[in-house]
Amino acid sequence: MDGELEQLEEDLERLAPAGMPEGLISRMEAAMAGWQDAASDEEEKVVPFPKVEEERQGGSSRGFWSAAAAVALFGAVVALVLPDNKSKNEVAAPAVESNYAAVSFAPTNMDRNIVQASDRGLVFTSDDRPHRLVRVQYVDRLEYRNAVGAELHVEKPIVNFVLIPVETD
Amino acid sequence: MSRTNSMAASATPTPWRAWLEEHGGKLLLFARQQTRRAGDAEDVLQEALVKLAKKVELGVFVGGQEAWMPFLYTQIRREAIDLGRRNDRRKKREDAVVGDELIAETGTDRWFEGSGYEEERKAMMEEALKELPKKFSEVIVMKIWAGRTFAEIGEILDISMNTAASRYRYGVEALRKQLAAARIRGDL
Repeated sequence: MDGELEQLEEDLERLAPAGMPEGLISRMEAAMAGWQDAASDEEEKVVPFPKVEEERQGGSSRGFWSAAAAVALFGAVVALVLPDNKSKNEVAAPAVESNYAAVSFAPTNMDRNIVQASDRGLVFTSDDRPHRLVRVQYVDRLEYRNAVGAELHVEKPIVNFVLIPVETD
Repeated sequence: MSRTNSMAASATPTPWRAWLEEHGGKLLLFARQQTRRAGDAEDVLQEALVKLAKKVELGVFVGGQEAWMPFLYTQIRREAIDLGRRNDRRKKREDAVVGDELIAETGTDRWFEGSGYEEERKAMMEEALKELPKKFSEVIVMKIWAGRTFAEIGEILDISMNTAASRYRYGVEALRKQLAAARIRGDL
């Protein structure tokens, strides 16, 4: 745990639980002393204690780098598998597309590099499951070539946010 | 539906009283964390305490006095789950009324003492803790204010020690994020 979290722990420890008001102590004391008055059918709700600890192991904590790399790899594969999808490639650089479309450049190579991946902390989805929010910044480098051998290189910076489930069960 | 008992507060203190004065605050905090309303917290705490008293006085409690607190945390949680189920069924019938009660009680249900500690920050931390998903806040409450080990917490919550530890770590991290957001908003 880093220093900031340790400081927060110390801050939390400085909070003292509110004491039981006098009236509430008296009520609890009276109830405990008069336990015979309680309904006898409550017994079935008592849980066995102590309980045999289940040997469950916590989930693995995969680094977000591997997830980021997986996202980048997936994107690269998709881009290469669909080389004929001109509209996709044109979206990357619309201004460039408008200048060169007439001379029929075709994509010949695509390369994707992760520039940076940063952990943006813990977030909870609507079902209260924790996820790490990871910002992945990468650059797509696309090469195009036309019939006369002219090359066109396009670099497209991309930022993705990836949610990686955190295993706590 | 708080119970009353014929034993008056002014009667001779029972052996339980000193023990309640020492430990009652921690137990009440956990009961508040486990329930939605202050009244419910008191009820589940009372139910748990009565079960402890019965077992101890009948001589069937397994373990010494050091085992009372783990037993009570387990029992409070079970009572809170049962109460929550009953309330859910009632809520379907009385949705609007229950909602109004919840809103009315939330403002006075303070979990922590006032102290020399910076009040505004204290209040923000309490609110952040209340907003955490329950499975994280219950581990934090038991670790920090009940002084339980992760092994004990795991036993009480019926989860592994590793799960308890990871919930604690992620819970504290989420708290930090909430507080950082509050700082950015200017609430702190």
